[in-house]
Amino acid sequence: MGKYRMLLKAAVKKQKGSIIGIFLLMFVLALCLFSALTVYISGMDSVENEMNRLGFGDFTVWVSRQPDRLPTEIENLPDVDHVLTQPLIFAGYEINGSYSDNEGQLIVYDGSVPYRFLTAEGEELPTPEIKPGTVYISPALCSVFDVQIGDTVQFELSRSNGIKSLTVAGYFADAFMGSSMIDMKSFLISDPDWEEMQRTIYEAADVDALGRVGAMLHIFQRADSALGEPDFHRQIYESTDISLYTEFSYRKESILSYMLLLQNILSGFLIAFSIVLLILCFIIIGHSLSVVVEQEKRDMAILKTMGQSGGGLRSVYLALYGGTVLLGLLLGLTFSQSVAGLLAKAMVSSTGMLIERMFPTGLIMAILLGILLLFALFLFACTEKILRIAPIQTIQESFNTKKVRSAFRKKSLGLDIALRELLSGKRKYIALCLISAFLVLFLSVIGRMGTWLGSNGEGLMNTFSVADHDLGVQPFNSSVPMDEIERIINWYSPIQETYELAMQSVTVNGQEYTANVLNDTKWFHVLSGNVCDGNSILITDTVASELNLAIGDIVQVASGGRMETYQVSGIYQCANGMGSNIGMSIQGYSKIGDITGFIWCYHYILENGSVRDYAMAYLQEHYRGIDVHTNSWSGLDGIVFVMHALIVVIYLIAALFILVAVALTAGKLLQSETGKMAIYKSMGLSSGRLRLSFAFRFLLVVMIGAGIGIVLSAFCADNVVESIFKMFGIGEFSSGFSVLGTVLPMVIIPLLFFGFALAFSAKIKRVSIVNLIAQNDE
Amino acid sequence: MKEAVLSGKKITKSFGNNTVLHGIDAEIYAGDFTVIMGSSGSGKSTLLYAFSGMDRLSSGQLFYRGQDITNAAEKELTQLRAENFGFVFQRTHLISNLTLYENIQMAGLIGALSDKECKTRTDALITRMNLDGAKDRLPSQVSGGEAQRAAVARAAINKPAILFADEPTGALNKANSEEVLNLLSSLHSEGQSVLLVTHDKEAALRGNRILYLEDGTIIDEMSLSAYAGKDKSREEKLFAWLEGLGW
Repeated sequence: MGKYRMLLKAAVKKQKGSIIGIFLLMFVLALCLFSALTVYISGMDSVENEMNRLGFGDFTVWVSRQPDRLPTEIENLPDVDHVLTQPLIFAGYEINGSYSDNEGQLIVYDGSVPYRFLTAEGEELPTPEIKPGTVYISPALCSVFDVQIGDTVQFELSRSNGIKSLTVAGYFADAFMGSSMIDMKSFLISDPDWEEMQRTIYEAADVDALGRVGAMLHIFQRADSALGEPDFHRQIYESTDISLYTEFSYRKESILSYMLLLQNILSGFLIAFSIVLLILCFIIIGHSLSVVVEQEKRDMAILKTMGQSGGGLRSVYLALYGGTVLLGLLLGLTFSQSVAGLLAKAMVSSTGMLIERMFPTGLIMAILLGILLLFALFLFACTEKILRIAPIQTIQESFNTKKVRSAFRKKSLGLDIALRELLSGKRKYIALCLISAFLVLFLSVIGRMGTWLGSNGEGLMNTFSVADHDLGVQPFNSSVPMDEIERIINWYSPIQETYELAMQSVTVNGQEYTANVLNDTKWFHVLSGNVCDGNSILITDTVASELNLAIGDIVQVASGGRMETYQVSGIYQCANGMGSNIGMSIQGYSKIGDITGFIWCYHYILENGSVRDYAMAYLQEHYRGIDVHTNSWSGLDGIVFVMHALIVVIYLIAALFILVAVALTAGKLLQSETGKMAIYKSMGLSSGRLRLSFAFRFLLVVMIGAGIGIVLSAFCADNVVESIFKMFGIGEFSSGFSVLGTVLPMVIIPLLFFGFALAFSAKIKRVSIVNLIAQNDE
Repeated sequence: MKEAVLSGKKITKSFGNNTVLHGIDAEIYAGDFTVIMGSSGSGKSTLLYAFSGMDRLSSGQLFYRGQDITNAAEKELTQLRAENFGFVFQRTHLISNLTLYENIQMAGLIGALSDKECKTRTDALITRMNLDGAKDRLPSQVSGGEAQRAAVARAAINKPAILFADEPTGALNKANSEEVLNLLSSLHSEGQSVLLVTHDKEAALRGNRILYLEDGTIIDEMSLSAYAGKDKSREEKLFAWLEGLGW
């Protein structure tokens, strides 16, 4: 054992640069992967547990003005286990001068539902008593409306003095719609306020009422029910008149997806990036080991002549590299839990609830063991060469440099020397080429997504919107002077185009969806097929996949008890509700519903879209009874911010990886080229030119890798992103040339390699020509 | 009067507590074939590298054509090496992944030659050094003699003010040594100043000025007529002088 300890000690001393580098890589990999995994798993579990704890059903329907008998009717269905009713009031609201696009849902807090109360920073608080005149809100509203404790929320209940002002007293975890990704928000209020508000709504004449009394109906499917989800929903909609009262409905999975949208985007990208990092780790470690074995070959051969077995030597390197990998992973895993905790807290303002950090032991251990096993096999394969070292042959081996051709010119001497070094030592640089290809590919994909998203999230909004628009105005009653409003909009910017939209709840083959009804169907984003007419509908990719439909298929669409047959005319793009919607024309919808009572939303496309925010602010300030919105939603800023922050973080991690990769490669190269550098110096080549030439090698090889990465990205990025986006209801993704997706990775990655190589080449300055004399005396 | 290409005043070089050169005063003249002789460990290679500016002095002064280069910046020394100095080492120290031709060409390109001049001179040197058959081979693919001849050509391509040669025949057999020394003599006959360090009497015979170094001090020097082939009287003069110094 003594001799192995000695050999290991010597190897550690000689390879300490490589060991530190590999340790760092493994640490960052584990930190990135396990913190992202912990946040992802904990988020899913936390929100689902909280939803279950608060009584969210398998299927929850938001209804208004519903008859008292409705829950019992549903409960009597054969496959329904029970229905929980949570009364609420729908009312528009305004905070700090900003009017919300969506109605708030006021819930009386009587202690029967065990809500959790939080500080804005995500610390849990004991359950308070909600005093009259106060309201508890989701922490996500802090990021949307910049709201603080003590601010006032004004709820609009009726047109004639029906505004109720409540003071924000604190925050609660809203597992159903607390996320900043969801426009709808719940508010917890006291019983006396609830009674008063309900009275105000009931007392207002129908035409005067702005608020509505309703409920959340949490419907639970029987455990022994054989019905699939669509059939269960169909049973509820076809056997009761719930559709007459439905505002909207969500499956638990949809709410989960919405609640965790931002978090899943963040952790999803970090997990994807970790996989890229894992591949890079294999490349870097493989390269490092191969160079080390090459450099130590002679010493190993000498040891073999002294009777040391190849297996013994191999075990020294296995222990050294394996131990470093293990240590880096374990330490990264340990720290990842703190990072996950910090991430969970930092995301309270977007998730609207504190994600309880749970260590997903089984999964993480399985992944850790899997990675370790992969590395064990990889290291075993990389060290196999040690066994094949033939003692005498290796000791007597002369330089095996291959002759290559490349010209030398005075003007480009540094570059020409770099090119010659590359050509005559190709193998040494393959790892760098692969690393840059992978990094550029990944960063290009991320960049393409960033470009598609746009600086203000317009790309995302276009896929979520039914149709493009700059401004939308929805009057809640016929007394709103739309002519006047349009004159005002025209004053800000001439209106180019206008069309009208209404959103209605319908069932398609028994499954509940939102129908987007347009008076001018040309505005639908049709991906394939044709726009719809009076006899046809458009469906999204999500609906097509959920109901197994294709263009040309016949479907039954129903609303308010009337059903009609339509043909699917095409697939269109609208990611709203995770893509759970269809497109219809007025003529088409008229067959099953009465459009006279529609609350149309007027959409405007302006000549100068940049003035939309000013126009919106003016209209919001001067007109009551209208909802004015731009092509945006409250969660968009969060997504745009996270996406941009993610790009920065990923570039930083990439820079760290490049630093380590360059340190390992440059260190070994310089070590083996000290003599050559001294000769060049003796010929009068300055340290500066030698350093530049050295860094050029990295630049040249990395540019080849970057080129490969960009070509791969051009061929497959859109398809990869599109398949990921389909999970979020976005059916189409296409990106072209962009600075962020093409130029930036192509420039930044090679420059980072070049810069780090130049920095590490400082060693060349210390190479003394006297080394050449020392070699004389050998 | 001969022009001093290099002048050293009180050149001292120490490595830690070990002083190798003790305040040497010496001048190397243009057009001379100067030889530094001495036994192993006498400090002759150290003196050569001190004179060439490759190694900094511990104390003393060094002048190149009257200009003090003792504390010259690395940039100045680099330019001197590129344009005015040429080196031949005991081990050839050729760049392993360049052919012999490219090794010679490289020195010209680093120096002041244009691409065209460099090619012309490289071609000429290849022929002169009898390397036509080996010019496209890598250093690992040629004999020691061929490699050292290429090294001499590399040192000579820029027509340096002085060509330093540190035991250039130390690793060669007799025939190859003779060939390399003939080349140095031939270059000298064309006006090339040479500073050769050797402990080989046969090599020393090529010089016209011999400095004898012992324990870091020049204890004596002698002059010979210019080398013009085997000359018994020159041999006797040098060997007698060396014998007198206890060689």
